[in-house]
Amino acid sequence: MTKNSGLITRSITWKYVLALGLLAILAVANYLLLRTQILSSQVTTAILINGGQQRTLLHRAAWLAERLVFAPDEPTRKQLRAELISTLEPLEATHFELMHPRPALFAPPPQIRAVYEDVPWLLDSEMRNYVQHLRSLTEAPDEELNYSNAHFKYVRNPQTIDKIIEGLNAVVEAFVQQRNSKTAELQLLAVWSLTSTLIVLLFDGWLVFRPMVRQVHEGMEQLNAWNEMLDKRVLDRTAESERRAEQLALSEAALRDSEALYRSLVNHLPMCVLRKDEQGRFTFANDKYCKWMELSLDQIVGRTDANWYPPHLATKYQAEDQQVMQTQQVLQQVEPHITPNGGEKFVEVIKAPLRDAQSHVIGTQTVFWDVTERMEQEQRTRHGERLAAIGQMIAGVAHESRNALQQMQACAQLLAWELEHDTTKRELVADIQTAQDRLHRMFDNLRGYASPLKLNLRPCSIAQLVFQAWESLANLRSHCEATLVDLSVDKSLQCFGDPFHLEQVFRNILENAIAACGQHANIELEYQELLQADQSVLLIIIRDNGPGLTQEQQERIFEPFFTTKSQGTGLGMAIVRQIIEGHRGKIAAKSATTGGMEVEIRLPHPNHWIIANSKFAEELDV
Amino acid sequence: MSNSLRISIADDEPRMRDFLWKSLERMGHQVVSGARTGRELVEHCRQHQPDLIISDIKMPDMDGIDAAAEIYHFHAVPVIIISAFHDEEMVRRASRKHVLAYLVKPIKDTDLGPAISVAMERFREFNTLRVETADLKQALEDRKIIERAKGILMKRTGLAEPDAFRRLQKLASSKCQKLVEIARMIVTAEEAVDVGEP
Repeated sequence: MTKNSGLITRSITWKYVLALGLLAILAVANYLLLRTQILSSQVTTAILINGGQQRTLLHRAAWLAERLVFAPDEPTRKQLRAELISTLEPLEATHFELMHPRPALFAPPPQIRAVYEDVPWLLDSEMRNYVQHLRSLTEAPDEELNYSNAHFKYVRNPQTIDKIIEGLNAVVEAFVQQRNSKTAELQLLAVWSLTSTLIVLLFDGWLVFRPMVRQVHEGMEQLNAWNEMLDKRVLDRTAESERRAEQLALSEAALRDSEALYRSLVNHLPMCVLRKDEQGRFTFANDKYCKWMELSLDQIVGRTDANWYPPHLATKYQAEDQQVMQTQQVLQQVEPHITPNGGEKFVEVIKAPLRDAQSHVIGTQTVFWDVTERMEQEQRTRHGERLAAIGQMIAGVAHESRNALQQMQACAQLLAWELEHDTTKRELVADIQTAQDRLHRMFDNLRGYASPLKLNLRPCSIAQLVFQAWESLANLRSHCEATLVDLSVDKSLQCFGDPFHLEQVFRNILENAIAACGQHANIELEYQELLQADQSVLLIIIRDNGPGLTQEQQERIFEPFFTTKSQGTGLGMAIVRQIIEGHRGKIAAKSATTGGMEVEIRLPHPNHWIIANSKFAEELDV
Repeated sequence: MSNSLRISIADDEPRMRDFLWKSLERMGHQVVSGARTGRELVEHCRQHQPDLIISDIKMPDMDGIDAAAEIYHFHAVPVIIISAFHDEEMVRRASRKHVLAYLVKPIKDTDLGPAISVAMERFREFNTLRVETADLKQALEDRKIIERAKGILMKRTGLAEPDAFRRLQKLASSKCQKLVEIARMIVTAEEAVDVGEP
């Protein structure tokens, strides 16, 4: 279709150009004809005018010459001379124009020249003679101005004037004739021009405009068809656009939903999520992180780690961010962390490079969560595993030692019987037996400490446990004056634990206290529920009036084999700690403000145990 | 039973044997034999029929618990085990094999007295129960035979049950024999007749 229309256009253009070209030629021809006509009539008119003027001027000059000759006085003569001179100038000028008609194009044709030559007196020379005579007359002195003056005679001679007039007439006649012949030519040309114009118009109309109109008509139809098609396409496109817009709206809604979901997800994650730019400035943090840092999002965005972490941690975090951006590899590790209130935590961190749409790294994204509990659990597990290994070894040693101890016992006993009558030697044997007893007890303690702790948890009264422990120490107390005072408000307070092991805890602590206090032991007991930030605990305090603890003792009292007593095995307090930690509790010892030692035990609140630690109970093999 | 007991001891350690021997003698008991291995202990018991056995577990060729189990087959006697093993599995195994007391090494001579008392007491209770059980079992057997004899009498003579029983009693007193013996004879005779007339 396009090719076709191109051809049509080209053919139309060609024909159109041809038609226009013909019209242009006609116009130019007509213009030239008209111009020739105008010029020739101009020239003719000018010649006619000049002829007439010259005739007048000639008569005027003759008349002025006569007046000059007959002038009465000097001034008149002078004036007449001037008038004559002023008449001579146009005469010469018109003569020149007559002889050299303008424009040059219209140079005197041969007929004119013939006229000039046919004239008995050459018009030109006649005229010049005439003018010369007149000039001479004007220049003649006053005395010579009379009828006899030759110049005057020449000028006054009617024959002379007639001759010139006759010449002029001939010239004018020649010009008129020429114009007439030209006019006839022009008439012919006009007829020819009209005819040719009509022919060209007919030709144009038939060959160019008719097909053009037809083609324009066809073009219009085609255009209408295209227009309709275009309308249809526009409608289609509009419908399509509307559909797209609808889809876009749906997509946007979905995107918003997705965005909301993402935000909700990120904000409800139990993990801290944050993003930083290349300079380590925060660009985003989720609710959890804000809560964790006790800051609002506005306070976080734009700041860096250095704003709230201690310098060594901030430097470490920033170095890690840089590393992640440079290597573009995900970093996952467990690292120390410090909360705003100074709490030391362990967190598991995943740092990943953040990219824009062109995959350029533009920062980092960090996800981290608190694994302190897990780390502690792992530590406990590792500790437990080590203890289990040690326990196995100890059990083996303890077993093997039984035979050796038995051997010693048997031999010592046999020796004692042998030496029944030798008191001194029998004492030595008794010492051996005492030492052997101690060794035996120590092995037992060791085995107890090293074997896995199996707890049988149930609610039990703290007061009752301490009382039982106190009672079991009656033998020890018989050597001194010892008192136990319960200062607690709620004496019915219960804990959730293994009564057998907890009694051992109190027994060991009380035994230590009594041993430390010498002759007068005043022991105070205090227990209460304590509400802490995340969970409530039971706080049990046992205070004595002994010498208290040195810094070293305070730090090491719960270590195995650390003892200040000459008779101790050094395991009592270690076992205490083991049991308390087995109950997920905490224990600490320090010097009391009143002097003496103060042991502080924190046990999880019974409710907390029952609800949250059913799993832990399973782990304990209860 | 007098306070002095005849005791067999077993331990692969000579010192331990000496110690036990002396301790027991000082407590007024009589040690009838000292074995070095489990098998020796079994032999000694067969020979001496002691009142009590005190034995170690770990010994060459047979351990104390297996020895106790074997001895029980021919001679019911209380056994005390003295061992360095004290795991639950070992204690459970010992108590299944008629061991009445279990002492964990190291022991002193003073630990033996209470252990012996407990073991003997438990053995006595055990024996009493055993005799009672045997008596009850016998009574049950007797009763079964008497019932069968009564049934035979009722069938043969057409007597009612109380009359059949009374006739058996009368028969026993006239023959100066136990009721069960008379019943057994009747049952035997009946069996003979039954075989004779198929």
